[in-house]
Order: sequence, then structure tokens, then C-alpha cells
Amino acid sequence: MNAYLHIPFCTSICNYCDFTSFAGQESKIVAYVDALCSEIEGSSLEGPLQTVYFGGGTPSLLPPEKLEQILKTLEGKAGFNPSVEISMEANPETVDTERLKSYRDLGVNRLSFGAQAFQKEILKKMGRGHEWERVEQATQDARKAGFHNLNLDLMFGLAGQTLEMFQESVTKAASLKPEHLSLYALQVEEGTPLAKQVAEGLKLPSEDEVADEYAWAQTYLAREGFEQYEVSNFSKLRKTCLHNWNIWRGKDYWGFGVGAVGTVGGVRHSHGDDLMDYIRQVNQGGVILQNEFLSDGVRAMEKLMLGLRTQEGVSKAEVEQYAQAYHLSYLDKFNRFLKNGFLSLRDGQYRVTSKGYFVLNGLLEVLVV
Amino acid sequence: MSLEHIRNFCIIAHIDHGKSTLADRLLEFTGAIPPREMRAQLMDQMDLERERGITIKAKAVRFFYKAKDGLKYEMNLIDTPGHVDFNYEVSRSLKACEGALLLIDASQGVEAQTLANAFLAIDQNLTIIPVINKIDLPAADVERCKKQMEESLALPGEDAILASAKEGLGIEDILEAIVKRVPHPTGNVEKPLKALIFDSMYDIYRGVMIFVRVLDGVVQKGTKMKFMATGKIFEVEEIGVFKPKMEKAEKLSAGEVGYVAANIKEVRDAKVGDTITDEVNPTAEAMPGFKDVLPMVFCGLFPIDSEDYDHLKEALSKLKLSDAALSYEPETSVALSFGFRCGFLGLLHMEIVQERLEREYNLNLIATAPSVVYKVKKTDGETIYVDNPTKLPNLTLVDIIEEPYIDAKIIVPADYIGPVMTLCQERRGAHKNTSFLDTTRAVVTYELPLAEVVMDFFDRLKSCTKGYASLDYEPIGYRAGNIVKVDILLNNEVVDALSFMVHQDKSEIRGRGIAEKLKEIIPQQLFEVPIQAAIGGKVIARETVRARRKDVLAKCYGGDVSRKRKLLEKQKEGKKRMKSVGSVEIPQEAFLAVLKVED
Repeated sequence: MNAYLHIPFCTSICNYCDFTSFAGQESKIVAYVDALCSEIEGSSLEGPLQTVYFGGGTPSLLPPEKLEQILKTLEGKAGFNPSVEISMEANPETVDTERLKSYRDLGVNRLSFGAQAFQKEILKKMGRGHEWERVEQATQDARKAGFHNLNLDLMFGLAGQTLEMFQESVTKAASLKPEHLSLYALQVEEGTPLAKQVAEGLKLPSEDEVADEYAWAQTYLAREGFEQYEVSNFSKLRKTCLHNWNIWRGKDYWGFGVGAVGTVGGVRHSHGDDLMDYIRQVNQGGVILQNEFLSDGVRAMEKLMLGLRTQEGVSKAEVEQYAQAYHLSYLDKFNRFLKNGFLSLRDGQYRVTSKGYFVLNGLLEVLVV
Repeated sequence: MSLEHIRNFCIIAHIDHGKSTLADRLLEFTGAIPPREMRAQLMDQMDLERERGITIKAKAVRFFYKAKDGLKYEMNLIDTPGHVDFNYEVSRSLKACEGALLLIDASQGVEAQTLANAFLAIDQNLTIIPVINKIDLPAADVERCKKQMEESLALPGEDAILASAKEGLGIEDILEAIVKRVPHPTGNVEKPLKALIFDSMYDIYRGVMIFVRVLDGVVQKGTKMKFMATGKIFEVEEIGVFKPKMEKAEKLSAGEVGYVAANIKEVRDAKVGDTITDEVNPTAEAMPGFKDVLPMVFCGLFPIDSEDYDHLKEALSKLKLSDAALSYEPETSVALSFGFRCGFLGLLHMEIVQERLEREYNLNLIATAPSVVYKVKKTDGETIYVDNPTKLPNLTLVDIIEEPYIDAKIIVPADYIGPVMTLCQERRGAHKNTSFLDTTRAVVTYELPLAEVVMDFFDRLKSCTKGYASLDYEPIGYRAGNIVKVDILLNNEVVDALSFMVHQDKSEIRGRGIAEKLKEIIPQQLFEVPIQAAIGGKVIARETVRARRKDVLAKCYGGDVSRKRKLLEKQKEGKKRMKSVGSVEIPQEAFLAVLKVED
């Protein structure tokens, strides 16, 4: 089993962010963690847990004792697999060696730093609270604290970001020798301050520029020994993020906390995004989850949609299962994309090629119902 | 009523010269309708007609007028369509009359349809009473109108009655003139029945109702009437007149006008211009001049939502009930799937039908580029008529292609003769003649290929003359031309709906126009898409839609899966509304935009 825990606190909100997050609410951390733990206790979560993921928000705002409370609760409720992956997202400016050491001691074994970009002016425009020096510092601190599995998040397609700037960011990040890099293309989400800026005329790089950045990164990182194992994810020596990969594989996972989503036994559960409501509900006897029942067809479709994001791909059998659910003839479509070089077929697995990743959405549009 | 006290007349005019308003005033003045019950322009029944200020289908109204001589007259006003597309119907309506009010807008003067209609009436030996209308307008120029009448129609200016239908001026003068100048009908009630069908309409209770002018004899309930052109026989069930409300009558006798219902199911059984007689005691000869109205302009009509096909089919069949000139047959297009190839009398007719389908039947339609009917002489000696580019035989089997020509009369202020001639020249016109109505207005006559007029000629004519030009045309037969078929290929596959026939000289410019437009509109695909315009195997224009470089490369985490899936489903739904040709997804808008392309 896998568990996702949402920690919605942030010191400030980045302009592009549409995750459930709250700035200046750190005083509610204690009450929130209590609520989170009661939710876990009251759930039907069954272990052992193979992965645990702290996402946010900014999970690194959790004082170690609060993290300990959560992990103890999880362990007590479900237990951990001996090789459990415990991942945590962290903002570089929120951590130091001591705190990271505590996290490590509590069992966290994978860290993901939101580095985003090298240039000060770009970071500032995004609303990030750090400068690159803090990324370098945090990386060193993490090593000192005993982490052997580090990720850096970088973004491209940002306002004011040129190809050269992005190249500089990736090069600098690679020089810090992380085991993993996530490169996210900026997406303008409805309701964010960024969306407003764009509506008011903020210029973002063109499709071509963004495509050039992505293409460059694919080549550069391959040379640096990174393997692209998903649309946005690159890892060295197979140090992939197991938690995410399990989700892409369609494995079950529990979501806990405000804004969290999980899928267990064909039912997708999600939480509301009101922090106080969440705490109140838990305290009043239980959180109210919205459930979405996934039909076999939908599950097969998601399998395809997610599977094709990764280098594992999807098996012929999975494709057939999907095609049967929707009475589709799929072969000609898959063959067309094989011919065009968007897909490859090896060992009975269809995989999207590096070229195909550029237009994955377009491919999926054709391949799915 | 004895024949001496009957007057059958019509009003002929250019669009917007006040025909319907005058009709209303006549009815109002004679008390056929109390003023408070007047709906503006009662004779135009359809909203669409009222909106456009034109009358689509002729109707006949009977009213009584007590003249200054103290006698009561039965007046039958036969309304006529005012547009060039309905020339034949106009001529049939005129045949039912002895006189015509020729209405001229005092501020506009003689226009193209004034001339066309007046000549038709003169040809039928009708007594013409010129009426200069709208004399209350500040821009009215009565003298100029009189001069134009004299010069272009040889009608004495002093015969004109001055009127303002809007203000009710001159109405009595007009009625008196009808009584005094228009001859009463002649005919013999003793002779075998002979009546002319000059119009028809469809009524859901009575079936097809025909409007007739009885020339000889009597028609009444129970008469076994025979349609002389079609040979069909129906028993008369009901007879009546519009006053303007429908009123049953005992019979219609020689000289009279009214409607006949005989449980006729199909409009095509009762053709306008046909003669009816009594099967038991038939007349020797039908009225001369009957012809089958043939569609001149064709286009494909396809529902945007393919599920609307049945609905479109039903709508067309309903329209057809009251519109004998409309023709349609199923058409299948790879690009636009299922629809109908429809034939129309002309452009206006096409526009009206499309609008009625969209407005009254709530259909969203794509119309392919209008096409004329080409006469194709094949090498094996056979001659075929091609109304659809996809039906053109392989060029190796084609000997000569002929295209229909028209004689177009364009009336313009003298200042605009230049632009009009340039336009006609561009449209492969041959200048016939330019004459002047007076010092300021000219009649420019051109022979033009109809194909050049069906595209956007009216719009161009209006825009190059600031709206002052008026046009009337009549077909003058077929002439050989260097006609080619241009195909549009996407990703090397022909998009059937975009094929068109055109004169060789225009092929490249139009082909290029469409290719460029398509390039703008077709969204980038996963692969590069070549767009070509080609004649046979020869490419005459080429554009390329670049392959899409990237789409959303966003991250996908656990909380995102449902949203991503729904987004994908939504995109896919959007895709389903696209048509796929040569594995290129084409949005409907692309067809709409391309089919509107101007040359």
C-alpha cells in the first residue's frame, strides 16, 4: 500500500500554484497534525506501506516531532515494509542540517527540493522565497544528514526565462549531483495569480521555445547519465520515485489530509480544500470524503493514460483489455504511431519515445476513447 | 358578379419600393380589414419575408371597392414575388391579371427589378398603371422618375399616379385608375373549364391549395379536375377566396381568382403554370408557356451535428411541400458525412431556404460552395448535366464542358459605371450595352457566366457601388468554357466537400485562397500536413501545416488523475466533432471558413 499525506502550509504562495496550500497558518500545524493522525487512525488503511509521500504545501515546515507523530501513527496503523520509501517535499529555505538529520532519523529517505530556477529574478517573479545558494546549501546539508536519494524540481517555460537561463539552471542543478531531477513545464492554472497576470498581458515563452528547452534537457540529461522514466522525471541509477511510479502503475494509494486524493479498490476518494473544515470534520467524528467510483473501462483508460507517461509503458494485454471495454479497434492507431516514431514496442510493451513525450497529450487523444 | 365588375391586377416593383405597404393600404381603404386589425404588411406571411422586405410566395386577395361611378367592383389583388430568382413565378402571376400597378420609389427611381418586371408585364399585354410612391420623402424626385419611365419603359409620365402608401396619399386615385384603366376579364362560363395555376401553398388540413385564375367555365366542389401538364386528376373538395381571411365559396367562374383544394398531397402534382380543366368535359388547349422550373444553383447542405440528419431530411420535405422549386437528394461526403444536395432557383432562394432551415427548424448547417449546373458533353457523345463537382466524369471521358450564362442588367448611378464594369470584367463578363435612364443613372448590360455570379457577386456589386446598384438577370443558355475541376488535398487525400468547378483562369487564385485559409484554420497535428490544390494530377497551390511541436508537458501526480482523465475525455469529445480526412482532424469551422472564401 502507498500513502500520500498532504501538508498544506506555506510561508508564502507561489504565483503559479493551485495546490491546496495556506500561507501564514503555521499556528494550526499542531491541530492539523492531530486531525491528520485521527483520520489515519479512523481509516481502513491496511499495510504494510511500501511508500509514504509527504506533499504540499511545504512539508518541511513540519517540526520533527510533528513528523514523528504522523509516522508513528502510520506505523501503528499499517506498518512499514522493510524497504519503505518515505519521500518528503522540502523548500530549501526551510531546512538546515539539524532538521534534515532529524527527518532522516525518523525514517525519511528521499527528499525533493523545490529548486525551480537558478536566476534570482526568475525565482522572484515566481514568488519563491529562496535564492540558488539555498539550494546548494540544502543539498549539502541533506548529504550531511545522510540522504542518498535527492531530487531537485526545476521548471521551464517560465515568464522571462530564456533557453540559456534554463540551460544554466539544469547545468547548475546537475552539478549538485542529485539522484533525480524533475523538470516541470509551467502550466497556467485557472484562478492563480499567474493566470491573472497572463490575462493582463504577461508574455510566456512560445510553444517552440518551450519545446526547445524540453528537447535540450532530454539530450543533456541523457549525456549526464539520467534516464527519462516519465514525461517530467529523470533519474540516475534507477533511483526513481517509487511512490509516483506506483500511482502511474495504477496501484492503490491512500490520501490523507486536506486536499488529498487517493484511490483504493476502484474508488477514488478526495478531501475538500478547506483547512478549518477538515480539522472540524475530523474532530466531529470523521472526515467527509467525496468518492468517485471508477468503472472497469475508466480504470483501463487511466492505466493507458498513466502507463504511457512512463518508460514502463503499457503491455499489449492492457491495451487489449482497454480496447475490449470500449469495443475499440486499436491496432491501426498503435501501428500508426509506431510507424511515426511516437511509440516503440519491445517485449510486448508499448512505450512512448522521447519524441512522443512532446505530444503525449495528442497521442492519448487518439489512443483513448 | 358580372365580368364587367371584376378587376384582376397585381403590383410589381423593385424590392423595398413599398409594394406590401400599398397592398395593406388598398385593403384598409376599401374596408377589407378594419384599420385596428391591420398587421403591417399583411400579405407577407412569413417572418423572414417581412424582415427582408420581400415576398416569397404570391398570394391572391379579394376585396370590394365602391367606385366613384357608384358601382361596386370585385378587385383581385395578386401579389408577385419581387426577385429575379422567381421570374417564372412572376410571369405566371402576371398571366392571371389584366393590369399591373408599377410601383416606383420616388427617391430611388427605376431600378433593375422595376425594369425586369415591367417588361414582363408589357410582354403579357397587361395594362400598366405607373405609381410613383413615397412622394412624401424629402429625397423624392417625381420628375426624375417620370423621365426615367419615359426613357426606359416608354410609359407616358403623365399617366403616373402620385402616392405615398405610408401616408395613405393617392390610394383612391389608384383604385379609380384600376377600375377605369384596367380591362375587365373576358371568358366564357359556358365553355369547358380552363384555369391557370399561378401559385400554390401547403395547408396541413387541406393539403396543397392551388391558386387559380379561371379563364373559361366554372370550377366547383366535386369537379373532377385534370392537370394538363402532369395528367393528374383530383376531385375538388373546397373552393374559396382570401378576403384576406380564407372564405369558402360555391364556385369560381370565368374571370375569377381564388383557391382550390383537392386533397393534393404533393406540390409537384400541381405545378405553377399548369392548366386545369374538367376531366369530363376538357378544354382543347392548355394555356401556353408552361415550363418545369429547374433549379439553377446547387449546394450541399450538411448538418453540423450528424445526428441531425433525420431532422434535416424532415425539414426539407416539409419545405418542399410549399416550395415546388426546391429540389434535394441525399449526398454523402467523406468530409461532411451525410447531407443533401439541394437545388435552388437562384442565390436568394438558396439563402432563404438555408435561413428557414436554421431558424424554423433549429438546424446548424454547413453549406458547400454554390455550384451551377454544367453541361458536359462526353467523348462517347452522351450529354450529362453535372450539378456537383464530385460527379464530373474523369477528364479523359470529357469532350466539352458548357456553363450557363445569364444576361445581367445592372442599374447604377453613372459615377459607378467604372467599378461595375471592372467587376463584370473580372467575372468574365462580356459587355453588351450601356444605356442611360437619365443623365445620372445607367443600365449596364453584361453577359456573365452564372457561376461567376453565384459566388459573391451581389456582395461585391453592392460594396463597389456603395449599395446603389440593382441587378436583374435572366438565363440565356449554355456556352462552352474552359472549365476545370479543382480538388483540395489534405495529406494527399481529396477533401470531397471542397472540390469545385471553375474556369481555368480562376483556378489558381481560388485554389490558393482555399489552401491559405486552410493553413490558418487547421490546427497543428502530430505530423506535418501538406495542403494542395490540384487539377487532375497537377498541383496548382501548396501550403503546409507544420507538425505540432509540443502539447501539455505538465506534471501528473496522484491528485491529478481524475482531472487529467476528464480533460482528455473533453478533448476527445471535441475531436469527435471534427471530421477526419487523410487522418487529419479538421474542425467544422475550417469548412465554414473555407466555404466562405472569396476570390
